[in-house]
Amino acid sequence: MYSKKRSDSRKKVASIVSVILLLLSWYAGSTRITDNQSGMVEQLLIKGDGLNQIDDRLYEGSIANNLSPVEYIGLGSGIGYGGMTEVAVTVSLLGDIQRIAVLSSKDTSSYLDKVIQSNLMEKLLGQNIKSSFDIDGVSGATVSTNALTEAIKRAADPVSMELFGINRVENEKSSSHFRWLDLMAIAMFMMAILVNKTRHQQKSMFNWAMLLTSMCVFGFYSSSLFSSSTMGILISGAWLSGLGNYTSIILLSMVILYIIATNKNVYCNTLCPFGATQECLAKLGNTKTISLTSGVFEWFPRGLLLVTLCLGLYYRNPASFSYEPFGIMFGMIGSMYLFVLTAITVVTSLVVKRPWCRTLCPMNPMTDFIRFNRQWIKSIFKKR
Amino acid sequence: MRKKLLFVFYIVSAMIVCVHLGLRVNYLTQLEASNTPLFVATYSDNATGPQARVKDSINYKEWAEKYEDQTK
Amino acid sequence: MFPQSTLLDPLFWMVLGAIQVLVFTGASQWAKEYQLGMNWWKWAIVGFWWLSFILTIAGAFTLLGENEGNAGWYVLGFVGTLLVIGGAAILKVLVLLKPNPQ
Repeated sequence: MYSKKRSDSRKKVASIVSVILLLLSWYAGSTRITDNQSGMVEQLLIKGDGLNQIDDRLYEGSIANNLSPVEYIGLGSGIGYGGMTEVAVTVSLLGDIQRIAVLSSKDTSSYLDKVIQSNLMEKLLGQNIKSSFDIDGVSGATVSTNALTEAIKRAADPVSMELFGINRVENEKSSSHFRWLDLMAIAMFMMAILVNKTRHQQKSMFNWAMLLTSMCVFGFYSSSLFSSSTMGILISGAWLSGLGNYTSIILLSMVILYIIATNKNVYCNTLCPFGATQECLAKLGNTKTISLTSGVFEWFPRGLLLVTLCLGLYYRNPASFSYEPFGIMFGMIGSMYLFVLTAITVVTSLVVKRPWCRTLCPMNPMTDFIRFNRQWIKSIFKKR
Repeated sequence: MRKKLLFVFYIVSAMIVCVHLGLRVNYLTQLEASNTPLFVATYSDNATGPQARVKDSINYKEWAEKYEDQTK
Repeated sequence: MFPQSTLLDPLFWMVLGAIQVLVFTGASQWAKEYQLGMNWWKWAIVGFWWLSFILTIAGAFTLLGENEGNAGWYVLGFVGTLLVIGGAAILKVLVLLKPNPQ
């Protein structure tokens, strides 16, 4: 009884400290010296020596002692996975694209690297901004490709207006990013709630069907399951200014709301694609459910998630800070370290049931946090 | 035995995750400090990449016409 | 694997060869102990799997030795993991196809 009280008060302190740390990170992030845009743009001059800003999206480059400009630099942005991708385009007086630069991106760097390595930008060099751009997509990195494409088109706009007086039709609507996958996410979540509530004989079979469908659709097909970076995007409000892909944040929001409403987590056992993968591997091997019960093993993932979220808030780049094997498992995109992590998780899944879920998965700390605070707030209201 | 395996898995995963996050912090800090763009692609007349081929194919037509005029 | 070293490189490949000897001599004993009831086609499948596994390890470590670090790790991680899963699947099948004890 006494140790439970102590553990409870420790959790209360930890809970409050977490929120304070997150707020501090947010505040510290805003005081950071953020990208000095004109400093970066100056590096993109080709013929010109000096930069002259015409408006917030257009610069002209001129040679010293010469009033007329020799080139123009346009700035544009596109909505990516974790926020805006900023691009600058240097255009000659004839309207030919001379240089394309990615100034900043909030997408996970591995996805951006994949798009860059596909030579998407090199193919546009030399093309005239009067013509419409033919841009190939990059499979597996659609959101990043679209963000970059949109940004380049938007960057060409002010230059095109200045040089030729042509206003390129901007018909990109940020709300048009909703897709059938988002509806599927909502539908599957509703079904997961039903499957968890039912007392039907075949409940286990329904659960397996949900897991396998989720693994195929949200896992291997679209790699749109949520991760700690999605949590970061949610709490940082980056989604308010539009996102390239809403599926993961919709799923996460529904999970959080359901936990707040009913104290139950239907995601892990019924929907999680990575959990499903581990369950399939568990069926192959002779697995047992093992738990590590010491306090350190419980608190380390909590600290890890807190640090990750704080870093995402501080650098205003939540998509950069994720540590789950999902990207590798379902999209073969990610850093070498996460690749190794995925490999050892997969191999361990043959021997121990759901090792990732039992160790470092950020869902556990998140669920524990919400549940604990829900209970705490409830008890405060009950006393009153 | 399996408990030991899970314990080893935990330690190894934790180390990998920490290294990964540390490298990300390092990368982003350096990026901010250097104030350079993430990536720059520049057009070059001498390039042998895809954009050069496009320009060459246009030039060839002009060149062929010029040649025809010259040899008439 | 260690082309720069005249001692480690032959040692590595000798160790790999020695492991093979142990595996080959031990395999039939191991199968008898677990009463797997091996016949020619079961051995063929296991043999094919083992060959793939050894080739993957040899290939990956050769790449590593050729300073193709990324390629080596990717082969080991991707193909190696798939083979481990395949091995578990084969084991499961073999256990399922165990002949009933008389």
